[in-house]
Amino acid sequence: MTHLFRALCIAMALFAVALVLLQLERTPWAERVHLNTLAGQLARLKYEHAHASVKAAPPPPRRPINLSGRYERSLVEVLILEMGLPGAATLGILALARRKRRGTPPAGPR
Amino acid sequence: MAAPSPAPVSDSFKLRWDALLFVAFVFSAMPHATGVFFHEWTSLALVAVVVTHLVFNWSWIIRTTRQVFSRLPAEVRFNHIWDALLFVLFVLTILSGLLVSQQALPSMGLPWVPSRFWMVLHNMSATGLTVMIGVHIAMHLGWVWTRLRRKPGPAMDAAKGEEP
Repeated sequence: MTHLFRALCIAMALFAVALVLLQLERTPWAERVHLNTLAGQLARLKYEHAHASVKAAPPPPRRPINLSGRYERSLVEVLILEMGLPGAATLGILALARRKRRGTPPAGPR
Repeated sequence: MAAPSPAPVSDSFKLRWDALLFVAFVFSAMPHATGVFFHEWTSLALVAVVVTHLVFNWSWIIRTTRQVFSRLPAEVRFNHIWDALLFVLFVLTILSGLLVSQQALPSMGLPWVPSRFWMVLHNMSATGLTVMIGVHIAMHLGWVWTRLRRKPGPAMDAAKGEEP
């Protein structure tokens, strides 16, 4: 029962944070991205309208959503580059901080 | 009067749960390899797994939050702030993913409204989340290593009051 209550508290916190983050859509950045998308669509329509009479090869089919290159991750990229390197850096910093706290001299020649 | 504390979860079970969380996250972070369907449903299931992970470490979260304005070791303070940021970024990743969901939401009868803004945000937050989880695991690697070398026993969190 206690675990259930705690899970409910965490779920409520999650929901509250999500509600706050939804407000990001009203920021100038979101407006700019939205306007850029509309401008791109308009330019594409204008181009297609201007070249409608010209017989040309059809453009390649567009993907339903514009996925950036970051979407295509491999296992090596996730484990080594995105998780492993920051983790290794953290372990190094932690080891240095603990050694400094203990006051032990650094290993190797001075 | 304080509420009765529930039976502590054993460390070996916590470790197995964390391993499940790690594997599920890694595979859901590769939608190109696993497919959008698996990516979306695994990510939604991750919410329940993460909530359970937080429930398991509830006592550490509460204890550290209470002491956050008093004297705390720098490492514990950093850990606490990092975990809070990780929670916010996780919510942002799931929220933006839901808003650009191509299969999970439409299968529930909700319309798919493509949004470039949320897609950009989803890519950025997912990359940030992966990096932050790498640091989070590194911060707790000592605990993981100790649990791996020790035989399964009673929950350390309840017995000794150490960090998860």
